[in-house]
Amino acid sequence: MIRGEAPVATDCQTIQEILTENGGGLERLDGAESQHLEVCPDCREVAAAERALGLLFARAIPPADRVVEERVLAALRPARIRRRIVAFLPVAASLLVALVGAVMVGGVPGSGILGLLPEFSTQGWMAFATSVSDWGAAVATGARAAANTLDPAFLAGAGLVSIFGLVGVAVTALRWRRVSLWRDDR
Amino acid sequence: MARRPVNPFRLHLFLLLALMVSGVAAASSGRTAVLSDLRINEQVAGDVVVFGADLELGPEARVEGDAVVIGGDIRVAEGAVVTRHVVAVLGGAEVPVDADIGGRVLCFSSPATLLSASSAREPSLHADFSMRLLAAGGWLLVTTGLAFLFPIRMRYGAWAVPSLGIKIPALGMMAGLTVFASLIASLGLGPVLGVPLVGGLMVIFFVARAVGLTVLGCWIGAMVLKRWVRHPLPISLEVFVGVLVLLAVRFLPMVGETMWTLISLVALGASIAVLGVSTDLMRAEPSSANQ
Repeated sequence: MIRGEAPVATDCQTIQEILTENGGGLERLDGAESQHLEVCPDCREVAAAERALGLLFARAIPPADRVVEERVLAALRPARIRRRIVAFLPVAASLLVALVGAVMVGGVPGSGILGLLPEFSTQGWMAFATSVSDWGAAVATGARAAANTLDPAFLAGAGLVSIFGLVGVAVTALRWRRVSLWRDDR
Repeated sequence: MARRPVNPFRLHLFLLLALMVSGVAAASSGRTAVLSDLRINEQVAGDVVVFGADLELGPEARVEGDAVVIGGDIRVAEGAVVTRHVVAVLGGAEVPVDADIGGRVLCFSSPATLLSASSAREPSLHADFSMRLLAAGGWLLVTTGLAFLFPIRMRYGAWAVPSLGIKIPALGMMAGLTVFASLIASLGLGPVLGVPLVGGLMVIFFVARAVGLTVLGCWIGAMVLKRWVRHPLPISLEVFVGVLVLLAVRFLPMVGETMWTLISLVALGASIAVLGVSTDLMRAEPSSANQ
């Protein structure tokens, strides 16, 4: 809105959104909005820019020559493959780090390689399997003790908190789904 | 008159507080505490269970059952008696040789340090380093893999992080409390139902954390790389660098594990930001042209 101008019933942002949605067309504007456009150079500029952009797209799309389009796409293909390979390199590097860790823990079969590793490595996965088993035993002990000790009303309360939490998380996720990143009214 | 909607955060907090109070007061047999430390120096006819706090057994303590702490430390004084197992999950255990423990002492600070816990009897720098390397490689592989497979969804999440600001850790905290309450409810169902439910809960927690770490890694990696490289880089590279930074924080001495817990909570919130991606945007995912 122009400084010093009498207050207008409509808002520049709303009018500019309508203009953007309609490619600069004035058909969707009501009386007050059309009056605002007459006195607001910013909104007129947006309308002109949108109309110019629409003309540009109308001339550029669809491509006149199908052969040229295919040649352009064919020329882009190696670049796309190269980009995919470059994007995969960090994944490969991560796999390498994990494999080195696995080898040092003792995860590679073959006495030739294992012989080069320190003593712990040859027993690494065995110790890991024992730990996993112990983890299961610990959880089972915790479950048995909790079932013996905790009051059913308390457990029902815990269940209720879980359900409310899940609902809260789901509601938030669904709410964010409708929010655009470029709006600052969240 | 328009009704004001109930704030899910406040309601959740209220229910959790009610749970804490009832958890301390309503134990039917044995002793239990939730989010408040428990000190015992007398005979207890049954199990002792503590969630999200520490347990201290004094020299006169005699627990006729298991002593279990989930999400806290357990300290046993010399002369204390526990007729069955001493268990500390997601926490540490200090058990002197003079303590009379009828069963086993099982202590796991985190699922990722299973091997370290196993080798604690024979401390080994090599074992510790190997396990850390394996854990770091595993996280890097999962997060860069997610970024490679779902670049648009992850990029959108990374864009949402700064604009959502404090909402992400707040939501992560809420999700963390939900996981904690679910853990209690699952364990309370007994070993037959409780163990598979806890296993399932851990898998969901891991997946959500992996997605959230990918988003956070992308955000941090983009900030770091922007300083040196001007042109756009593959999202997997940004995630690789960002997750490396997070893992470096995790392996800091003293504060590393605490920081990792906080990072995990923020990651939970960030994973929900990714769930909030509009379905219109998702239709563009298979092309993956915006690597």
